[in-house]
Order: sequence, then C-alpha cells, then structure tokens
Amino acid sequence: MRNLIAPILLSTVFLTACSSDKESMSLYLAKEMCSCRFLIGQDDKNCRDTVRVALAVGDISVNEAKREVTATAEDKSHPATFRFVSKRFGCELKPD
Amino acid sequence: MQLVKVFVFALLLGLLFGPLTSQAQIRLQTQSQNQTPWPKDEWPRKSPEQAGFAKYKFNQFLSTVFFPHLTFTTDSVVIIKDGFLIHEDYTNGFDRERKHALFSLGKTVISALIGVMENEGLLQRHDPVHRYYPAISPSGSSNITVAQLLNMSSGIEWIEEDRDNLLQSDPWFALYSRASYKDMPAWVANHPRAHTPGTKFNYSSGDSALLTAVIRGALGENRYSSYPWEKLFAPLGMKTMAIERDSSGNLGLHGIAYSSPLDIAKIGLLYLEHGRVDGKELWPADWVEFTNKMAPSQLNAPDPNDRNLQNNQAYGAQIWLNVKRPGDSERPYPELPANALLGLGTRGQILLVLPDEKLIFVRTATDSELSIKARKNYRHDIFKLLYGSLIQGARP
Repeated sequence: MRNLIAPILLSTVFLTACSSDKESMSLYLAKEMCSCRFLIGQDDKNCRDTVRVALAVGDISVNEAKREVTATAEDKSHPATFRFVSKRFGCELKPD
Repeated sequence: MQLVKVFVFALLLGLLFGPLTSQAQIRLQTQSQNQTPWPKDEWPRKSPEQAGFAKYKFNQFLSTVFFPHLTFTTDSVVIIKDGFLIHEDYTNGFDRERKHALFSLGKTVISALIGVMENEGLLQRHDPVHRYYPAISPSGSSNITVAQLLNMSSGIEWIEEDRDNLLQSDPWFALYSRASYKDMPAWVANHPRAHTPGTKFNYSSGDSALLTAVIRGALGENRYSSYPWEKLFAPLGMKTMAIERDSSGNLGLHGIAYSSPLDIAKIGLLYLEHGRVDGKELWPADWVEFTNKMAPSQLNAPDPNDRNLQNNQAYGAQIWLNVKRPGDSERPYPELPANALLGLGTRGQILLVLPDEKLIFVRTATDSELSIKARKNYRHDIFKLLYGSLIQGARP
C-alpha cells in the first residue's frame, strides 16, 4: 500500500511544491538515500520508496562502489552528494 | 496551490522533526536497589502472559500497530516489562540489529548525555551556554542557560511546525540546506533572540542543536567524537548507535542519529533505573526529577495564538510529559498514567516509558501522516490498547 498509493498521491503534489527550494530538495534526497542505503543497509528499492514517500521529485543516483549518493532537483540542477564515511558517523555532505 | 504546498511541506516537516512526546512530573519509584543485571548483550525474556498482559488484548494491540495503513507504517515494535523483553517484531526490511532513523528521539539522547556529563563534573545544568559555546553571546543581563535549552526555552526565534505556513517552518532548512549543513549550531545561533531566556516555551530543534555545541565545548575537541560512545552508549550496551555530522563535525543528535529499537529502549531503561547501570550511577541523583519536571516557562499560560504547532503540551528536558499545563483541561494522554514519559520523532518514532508499570514501548515507523491531530490520535489509539492489555495485577 505504502509503495503505491502514497507516492502516486504525493508525487503530483511535489511537482508543484518544491521549486521554491531546489537545493534543499537535492540535499534531502541525497542525504536520506545515503543514510538508508549505506548506514541502515536497506536495499535500493526500499530506500527509494522510503525517500520518495516524502518527496517525489529529483533524480537519485547511487554509486555502490564509492558508497555515495548524488541527487539533483527535478530540473537536474543543484546536485548534492553525500558519502558514507563509517558505521559510527554515517553519511556526510561532500563539499561543492 | 497554497494548500498543496502546505500539504507537502507538512510532510517533509513532520518527517523531519515532528516529535511529540509526553512525560511526567511524578517521581519515579526509588525501588531500584534490587536491580536486575543490566541487559548488556541479551535481554532476559518473558512471554506477554507471564509479564501480565492479557493475551487477546495484547494481540489486538499488535495487529492494530501493524495494520497496513495509507499513512501509518510501523517498522518495528519492542516491548520491555520489568526488565524483560516481552515482544519484538520487525518488518519492511528492518530487523533486530538494523538501525532506524530516530529523528527527534535523538533529543532524548542529548539529555541523557548531558546528565552523564554533569555527573562527571564537565558542566552544570545552570551554566550559561556561552561558557561552552561563545557564539551565543550574553545578551544584556540575560544569559541563556543549558537548562533553558534542555527545556526548549532559549527565546531564540524558531518555528518547528508553522500553523500559518508550513513551507516556512525552520527544521527543513535546518537540515537540508548548504548553509546549515556547514555548521548547524552556528546556523541556529544566527537566528534572532525573540524572548527573554526562560520565559517562553518553544519546541525547537534549534535549541537541541545548540546543546550539541554545548556538549562539544564542554568536552573539547579530543574527546567530543568518542565520549558519547565511551561514556553512555558502551555502558548501556547500545552497540548500533550512529550519529551523523555536519561539515564542521557537529554530531547531529537533534535529528540525524540512528539506532536499533532495542538500543533506544535502553535510554528508557536508564530512566526506570534512575540512572543506575549495574550499580554505577551515570546521572546525578536528581537528574530524573529534573528531566521529568515541566519546563518552568510552561507555567505561563499557553499562548492561544502560538504559531508553532509543537508547543501544545507539557515538556521536560528533551522529553515530553503527560501532565497538565496551567489551563489544560486534561493530560496530553489521558489514557496513560500522569508520570508517563514520551520521546517522539518525526515519521512516527515513539519511545514510551511508564515508570510505575516499568514498561518501555518503542515503535519505529515510516509514517507519512501530515495532520498533527491525526498523528496524536493514532498514538491515543495504540496507547489505549497497549495500556489496556495490562491486567490489573501488572499495574501498580
């Protein structure tokens, strides 16, 4: 249920909503995806579902080898990258 | 359109920081002399029936909590009674060892940590914040104290969940902007001072972020990154605890910490044991009393026009209380005893501690419910079922 209805419902909402802050969109997606995937250790699909329940715009790309997640706003702008550093400290924002 | 925006942002917000908790002013029993050994590696177990739960009602509680729902998605449930693990259940890819996002439940860990530091003489709760974090400069004759931060009463402008414009609420930008990620406490310290410290209760992730800076200043750089693990998590056997950092190395206990549900239950157990772990005192003797006492600023009548939706119930030191504020007609959770303690984190994280019943309930979740009222009603529902499943003999 959560995998279907919520994202459908919310994606329409997000499309219009978040242009006001594209930077925080991409930071949100990258940070939450990185923590979910590499700190919590959930699988890719579960993490995307969890993150997108909250936010359905923007691209997420996961680099499994480097344990990094880069996300952009819906229009591919404002890329942000979070990198997994350790089990104790989780993910950190990579400088611009 | 505006409605849509509000909807979305409420989600994000709620997601982020929407903790709600409740707690109590009544002293915990001082019966911990005959402590059972601290469950460092493994919890002793009992069945729900052995622990005094009525089987049918208890199952009803569980099926309600795990019932598939559009906006309430439970990921785990853990129940401890009298020091025994009564029930644990994990779903949606989570398991016993796996961390879950704590969101604002991490605030309760901040308070636990400051208790440990005060016990070691590293700071005192009534110290001025600027002693440890000079970015909060003395303002006229009024200094913000550590206790005022713990009580969410700094007077620094902040709206956690804005009744009028959820898109403008602070926590979202506090976490997900480059400006704040550079240095979260510094970002908060730049907010205006709106009220005399100690006079206005205002639930604020910003105040909690400042506490992480106080912790850092009091510990010094060499100890900061290891102290929480050495002095709090290791003694409690919390092996999964992780705390993410901003780009200045501040530990984001106010919103970006992670642990397994059983590990966060141990913070609840520390309350039940009055800060004692295997005979060793981790907290000052009056720490539980202090944390469970309503913020002095809440003795002022609540402002009916308050825009911060999170300012709606009694609060202690980084933990919610279940007592009435002046003017409240009932307790926040009438279905629970008045000394219930509650840690809450966005997206449905719950740590409930019932001192008299020696009951700890942890729920981790991935909720997407926006309405603050619906979130609270959900808690009423499951608390009623949980407490109602305790047979009379299991209550004091």
